[in-house]
Amino acid sequence: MDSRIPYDDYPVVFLPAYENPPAWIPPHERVYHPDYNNELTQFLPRIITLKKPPGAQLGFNIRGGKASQLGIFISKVIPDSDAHRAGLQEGDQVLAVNDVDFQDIEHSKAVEILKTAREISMRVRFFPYNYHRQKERTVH
Amino acid sequence: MAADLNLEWVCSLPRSWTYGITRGGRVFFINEEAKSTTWLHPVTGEAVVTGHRRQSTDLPTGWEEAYTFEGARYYINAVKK
Repeated sequence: MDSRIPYDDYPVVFLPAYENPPAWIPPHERVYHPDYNNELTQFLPRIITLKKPPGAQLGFNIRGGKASQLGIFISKVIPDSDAHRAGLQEGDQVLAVNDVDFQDIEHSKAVEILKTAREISMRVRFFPYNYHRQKERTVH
Repeated sequence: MAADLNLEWVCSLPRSWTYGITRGGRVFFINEEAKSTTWLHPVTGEAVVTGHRRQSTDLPTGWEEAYTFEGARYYINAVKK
């Protein structure tokens, strides 16, 4: 029996390069370094609560979902909307909505849940790293 | 395995260690004594979740699962390249 692995049948894929963490720099130089002068608190998960009367617009758009493997992200927030006043911003990842996990959800299902809910309790975190990777991914 | 972002866990560091946050929101750990940095928490050995999918069964410490643009699954070992 031929035990040779049929490599020709495997698709060719390209792995992203491994990303090193930022190199060490002296403390006095960190104040001005974009990868050192960030506050952790802006990236911690937070809860956004919205009430949505029947027929009202969400006030924001989402992108991503199961197909992108990177999660659901807020891609646009309508200025002066309730969502904007609640602090929702582009680049927020939606982790859960009304106790439904959004980290591995189909896009269409996510839209359905958001559109049909009358009250939205949304757990989000600002995570531009994956938001930008996802935008790149959808272009390819 | 990868850990969720948690303030208490990120800050529970040994002497001479601190942490940083990249502009994109990734947490890394800084050894001031050795003048080095790493993605892995020096006590638990975990990296903070970067958004890659998490297995229902945990991966070994320091590993994360990810997907290429073509949808192929691969694994990242943050301990070494």
